[in-house]
Amino acid sequence: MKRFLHFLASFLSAVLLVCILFTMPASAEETQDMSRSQGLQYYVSDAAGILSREKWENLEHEAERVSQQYGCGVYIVTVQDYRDYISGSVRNCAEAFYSQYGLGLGENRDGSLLFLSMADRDYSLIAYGPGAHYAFTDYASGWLAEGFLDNFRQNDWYGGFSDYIKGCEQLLSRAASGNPLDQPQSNRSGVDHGMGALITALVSSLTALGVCQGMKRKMKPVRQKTSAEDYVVRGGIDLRLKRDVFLNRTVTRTVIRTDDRNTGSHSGGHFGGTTVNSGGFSGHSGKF
Amino acid sequence: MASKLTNYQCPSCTGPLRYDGTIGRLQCDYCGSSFATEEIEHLYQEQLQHAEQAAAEEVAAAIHAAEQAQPEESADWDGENEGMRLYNCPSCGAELVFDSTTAATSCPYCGNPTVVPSQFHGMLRPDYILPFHISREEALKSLKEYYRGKPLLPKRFADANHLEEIKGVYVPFWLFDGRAVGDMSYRATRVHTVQHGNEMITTTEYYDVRRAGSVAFTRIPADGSRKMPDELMDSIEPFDFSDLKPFSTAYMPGYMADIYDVDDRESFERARTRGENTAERIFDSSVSGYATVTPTGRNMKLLRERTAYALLPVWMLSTKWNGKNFIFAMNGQTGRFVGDLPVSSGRYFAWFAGIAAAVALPLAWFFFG
Repeated sequence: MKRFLHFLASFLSAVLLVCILFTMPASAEETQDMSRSQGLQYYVSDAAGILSREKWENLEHEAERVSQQYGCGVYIVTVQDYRDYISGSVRNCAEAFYSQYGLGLGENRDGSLLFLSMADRDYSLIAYGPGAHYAFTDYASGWLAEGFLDNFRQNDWYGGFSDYIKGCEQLLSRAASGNPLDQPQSNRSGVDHGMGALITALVSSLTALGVCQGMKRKMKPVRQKTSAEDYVVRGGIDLRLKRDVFLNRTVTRTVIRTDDRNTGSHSGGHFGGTTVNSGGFSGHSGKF
Repeated sequence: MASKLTNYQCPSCTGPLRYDGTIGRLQCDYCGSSFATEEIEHLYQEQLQHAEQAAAEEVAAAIHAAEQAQPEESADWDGENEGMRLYNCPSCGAELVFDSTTAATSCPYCGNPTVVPSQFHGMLRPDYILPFHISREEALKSLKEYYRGKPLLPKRFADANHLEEIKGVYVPFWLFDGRAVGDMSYRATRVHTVQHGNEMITTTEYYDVRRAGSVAFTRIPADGSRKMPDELMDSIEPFDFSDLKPFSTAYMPGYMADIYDVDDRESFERARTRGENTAERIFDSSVSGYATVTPTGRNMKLLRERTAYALLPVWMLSTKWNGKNFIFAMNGQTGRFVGDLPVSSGRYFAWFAGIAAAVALPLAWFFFG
């Protein structure tokens, strides 16, 4: 019975979301661009109902403008609880939405999706298609998230979505000029410059200090002896009691956690670039 | 009151004899003759016995004088009361004042090596002596070699270094035989980790470990001279005691020698610490195969079994630089050379900067290149 109720709730939620996604155009703006995608008709789909009509319209307008300008869809989807749609992670749900609703522009279906699940404050930011991967590198994705997460943490949904769209515009603009936001390719370590400088200073100083202190110790070899190993009589060690008694045993079990991001294949590794999983998506997930 | 000195003279030319550690014989620098220590001992046996008898009489007279002395008389200056003694050089007759612990030295006027046999009378007579094997020239050479390969040594120290003094000294040592007896307890753990599905299962087993027994030691040395820095004497160890000889003053001409002024009970405390520490380490090392071992109880005691008094050979070298004395010691048997050296701050920081730069360059290339 319980399982049936859960199934029913999930089904109704899914029907409701689909209805919202596909009925919004009729009740909203008339500025549909039929060429942009084959499924989802709007760039901003607020199934969680966290945006007012006016704000939704503003965001939709901006998202459409940026998407059309750069040929790469900029999408926002909000739901109440992603678990109503899929049993998996929020990332899996975002990818499923992108795939099932045919998001993306052009023949490669390039696009970026910011997916919010309000129940447990989960988000996933994903990108699809070679054009999007070029613009939304791992580094750029992190930078983009930094821009909207501070708004979301204060429940400023509109501000966060605005920052996301503006951030996407900047990233797409840079990519269009052939200069996507990324770590310098020549940085072999994948460590940022500040940390690199700190590591360099620490390692070089500690190594030099260790070597110099060793040299200094050689200059001061005179010290009082505290042991007498040289004077132990050969065969003079008599350990008449060697007793090792088992007392008790404790067992601890630790669950091995796996990171969503490690489930896919890597194209960029740790040297900048974009990490793309086997489904063709890049991006990351987290809490806001 | 002048005490008696003995000056070993060459039976051929009456020149002063000196013990040459490199050939193990007494050598005459004047006629070039050399003699086995046994030969000279035999020749001087009578003289030594006479000296010992005179020393005994001297001690008895001193005790009697002390008993008879009036309080106002002790206010007069008396070299012996100040820890000094007056001697006459048997070669040139000069009056010599030495430290009361001096047992062998050389006359500052004629340079002849002299021995004070009365210093080795009764309880003060060592059981053993370890003869010098390393010559003065080898000691000087070792000092120069010691400066090599020391990049932090101030260049001017090595260049303008003037040796203030070099002397071969028979240093009084107590040699302690003993047995460290004790028991120790530990709490130890063994840890096994296995992965089962998505779980890591860690099993920790706890053990109560006990060790008891003994460790025998032979001839743990502790110097019995307050003049000699303990850490310097410790640092020239070890000596090879298989080469110990029954004590004879015939090994002493040409070297300085002191008698002990730290008694065996006081010196044993140092040997006790060393022996007990070593026994504890041996017990500790027998506890193996565990992930962690924590000592929970220690009870170790070094029981003293036998004590020997020996004179051991040490070359002492001293230099002065920037108004500071630097003392070096060399094991006169094995040649082990030690001594603290000054450190040049400039060189230290130059090396520091050089090494830091050498390490930083490839790192910088890796991070920023």
